[in-house]
Amino acid sequence: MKASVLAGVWIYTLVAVIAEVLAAENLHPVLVAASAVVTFAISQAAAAVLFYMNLKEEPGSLIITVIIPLMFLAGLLISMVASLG
Amino acid sequence: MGATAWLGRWVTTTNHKDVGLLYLFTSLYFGMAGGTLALLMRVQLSVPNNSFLSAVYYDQAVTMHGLIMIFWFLSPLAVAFFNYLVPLQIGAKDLAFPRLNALSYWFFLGGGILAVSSFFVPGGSASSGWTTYQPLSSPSFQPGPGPTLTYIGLLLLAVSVTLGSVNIITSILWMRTKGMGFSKLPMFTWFALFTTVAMLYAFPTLIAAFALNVSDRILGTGFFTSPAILSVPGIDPSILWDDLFWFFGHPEVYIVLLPAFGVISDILPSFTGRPLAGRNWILVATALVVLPLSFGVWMHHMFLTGIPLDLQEVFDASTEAISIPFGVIVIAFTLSLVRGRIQFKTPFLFVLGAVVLFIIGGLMGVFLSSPVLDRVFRGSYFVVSHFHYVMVGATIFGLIAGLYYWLPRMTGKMYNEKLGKVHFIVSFIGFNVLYFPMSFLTDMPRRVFTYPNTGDLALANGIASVGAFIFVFAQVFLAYNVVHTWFRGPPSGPNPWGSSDLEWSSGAEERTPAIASETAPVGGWIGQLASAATPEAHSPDAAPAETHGGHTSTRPFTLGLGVTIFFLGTPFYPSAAGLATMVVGALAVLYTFLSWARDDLRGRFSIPDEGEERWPFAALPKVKLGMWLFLSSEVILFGTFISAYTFIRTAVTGWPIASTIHNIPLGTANTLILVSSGFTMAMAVLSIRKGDQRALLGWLAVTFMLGSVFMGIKLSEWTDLASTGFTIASPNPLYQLAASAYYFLVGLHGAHVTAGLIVMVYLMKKTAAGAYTKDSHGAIENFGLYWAFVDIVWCILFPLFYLL
Repeated sequence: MKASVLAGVWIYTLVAVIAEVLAAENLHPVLVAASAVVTFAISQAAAAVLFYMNLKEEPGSLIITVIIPLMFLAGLLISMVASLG
Repeated sequence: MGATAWLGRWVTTTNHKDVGLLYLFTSLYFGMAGGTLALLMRVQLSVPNNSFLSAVYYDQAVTMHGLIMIFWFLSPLAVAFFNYLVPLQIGAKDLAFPRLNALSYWFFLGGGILAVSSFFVPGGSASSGWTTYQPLSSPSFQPGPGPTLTYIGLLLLAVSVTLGSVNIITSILWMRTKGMGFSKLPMFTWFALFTTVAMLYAFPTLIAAFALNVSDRILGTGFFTSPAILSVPGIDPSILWDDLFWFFGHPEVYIVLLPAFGVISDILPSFTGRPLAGRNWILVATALVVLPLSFGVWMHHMFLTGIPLDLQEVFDASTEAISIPFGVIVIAFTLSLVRGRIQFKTPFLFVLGAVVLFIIGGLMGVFLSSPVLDRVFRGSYFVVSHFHYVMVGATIFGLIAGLYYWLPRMTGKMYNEKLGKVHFIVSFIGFNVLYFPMSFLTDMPRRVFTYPNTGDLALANGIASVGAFIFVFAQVFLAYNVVHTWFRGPPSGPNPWGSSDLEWSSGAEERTPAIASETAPVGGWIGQLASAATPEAHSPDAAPAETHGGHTSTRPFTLGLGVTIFFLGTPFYPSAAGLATMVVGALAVLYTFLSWARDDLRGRFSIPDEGEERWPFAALPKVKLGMWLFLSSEVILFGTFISAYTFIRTAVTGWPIASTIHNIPLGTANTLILVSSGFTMAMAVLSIRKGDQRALLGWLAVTFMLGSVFMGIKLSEWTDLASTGFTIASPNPLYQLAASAYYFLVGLHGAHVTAGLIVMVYLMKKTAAGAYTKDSHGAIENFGLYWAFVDIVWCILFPLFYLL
């Protein structure tokens, strides 16, 4: 991993933080603002996993190890919200 | 050996076989405690309108029986076998992280002591059933420190299981000897892998659920009983707990069951004289269907809570689907018997019993997948009968089979076969007399301390109580047989069952000197493996078990003791006695951390050699693999908290607007600081990869500074928020709930940041001493993963609390 790539990721995350704050304050309706904020948040997390944690260059088996709990969590979250009717 | 030396040996051991034996005997002790509670319950229910136990004591007995049996007996008994056998079966010297293994045991024991001691604390033990449903387990229904202590014990147990899972998974993936590819992995080790993967992803949810519960009880947060939730029409406040608990609880059924299937799969070939039928089908069915689906059926436990019908249909279908792979497994076991030359030895009899009882229990479970039938059966003794057929019948019979089967491996001696057969016959009769009548009690509510003298209730209950005493009496044969074998049993020979698994050849020389010379080569691929796995190279017994110098440590014990003492004080917070106890525990923990770091700085603890078969993780260092596994459990932990928060936010209307509570510009600036620390930590890792120690020290120092500033601003924010009345004691229910969620989750994240800062001081000290080089800097890489994870969690928490 090059230092320039890490710096690029850093700058992206800084911009994304500002962007999500602006989106939360300026976008309407709430659903659109929430979608934008969540997208920016997830993109920051993904950038950090791929580049800071270097998952991009790790073996595929490890990537699966990381994805499995995320799938379980997605199932939990969706079902919990759905259980509210 | 004197008493002090004997005690010192067991307190300091990190040897996998010693730890396995500790797990074995401790879990059997807890099994006796849980069984005693069961007998008390059966005495109470033996006749109608009985007053042997009061309602409160009966509730406590029911609750603690369930908790002890599931968490401190069934699972740990399997973990005992994992500890003892997995390294032997894969030809490793020890588990991947021996000290972590010992620490898991001491946390397990500490949790058990806390839970059991809750009987003697004001308020008594928990009495809301093993499911600890809300709001029954809230302070309104169960006041006092006693129940809190039970739940804290469970928390400690869950941490122990998570750490143990990381260890065993890493060992199986990374420590296999030459030639031990996945295709040759013994079935028991396969099932150990399945079980621990399920543990790794299920237990963090239990930690999350009980952390919220304990927070409600000690700190006064209101996750489960806030008036803000209770006042929402159409929302059952218990659903949040049900979701969290059963997302863990249903996989737990398989966590308990799968080790027994591993035992059965390993044992069958030894007594049928033919290979296990459908080995690959069993593995595929378990890995691709049972494991994933075990996390996708939990809502069938919630059909009566009023969840939408569409959702019930989805979970009805998934529950029926999960019975299919179990059908495949049972058919494979049955086919293994066909055309076999069966030897009716004790282990085989228990295997046969386990399979028969599992079929009965499994079939009863299929009825419960239907929402309509579930409405009739759910609250009745039919369910009690069903899950005991699975949890006790299949699991206990299977694990007892394993105990008889591997007793010669553990002791070098053979048990008494006649006594073993008597044990099986009396157990099988007692079990069925106990649980079969319950399957007809569909009109008797469970968890109720007495019943009227109507219909056949008295007859069925009377028969069941007689069965309970027969079943418990049968275990006396087991206890006598094990103890007698241990001290006076005749030599068993090196491989009494003619098994082809590696544990029967590696390490055999240590059992008794006489046996060592008898160790005979075994045919087939095992012979090749055995020659590769010479005792010197692969036996954990290269150093005698009594000494194993360089492989002992007091740190796991003192850390376990410190954490247990700390948790012992927490239910009594904020009393002076509670605080004093917590301080003593914290000091012990601090002392251990410093000592542990000093041990590492001086290289006092020898690390087991790496394995040669590491596919598909060959490119990853062992500790890094362990760190990734640990972080994946952390993902579940934080994800569960965030899911709970999302549930509450969705359920409650009128949630306070973030900008009216938080200082958004300050929060944004603080986020930019933490995000920047993620970058500087990544640069630190990059620097040492290039061998630049000075740059590493510099980047670490910058990261430390940014992290410290982040925490400083956070503390200042909390002070400001508290001064505006945004606290968990707020009289406004919505603010109280919002503050509970905010302080809990952000506080937990802050604790992670603080822990990272402490570790960073240690890393900087080592860096300054020149400990890390281009070729040896694993600790920096692993800490880089941790810090990035902390960064990522904040990337999610910041918008949740400050923007949405």
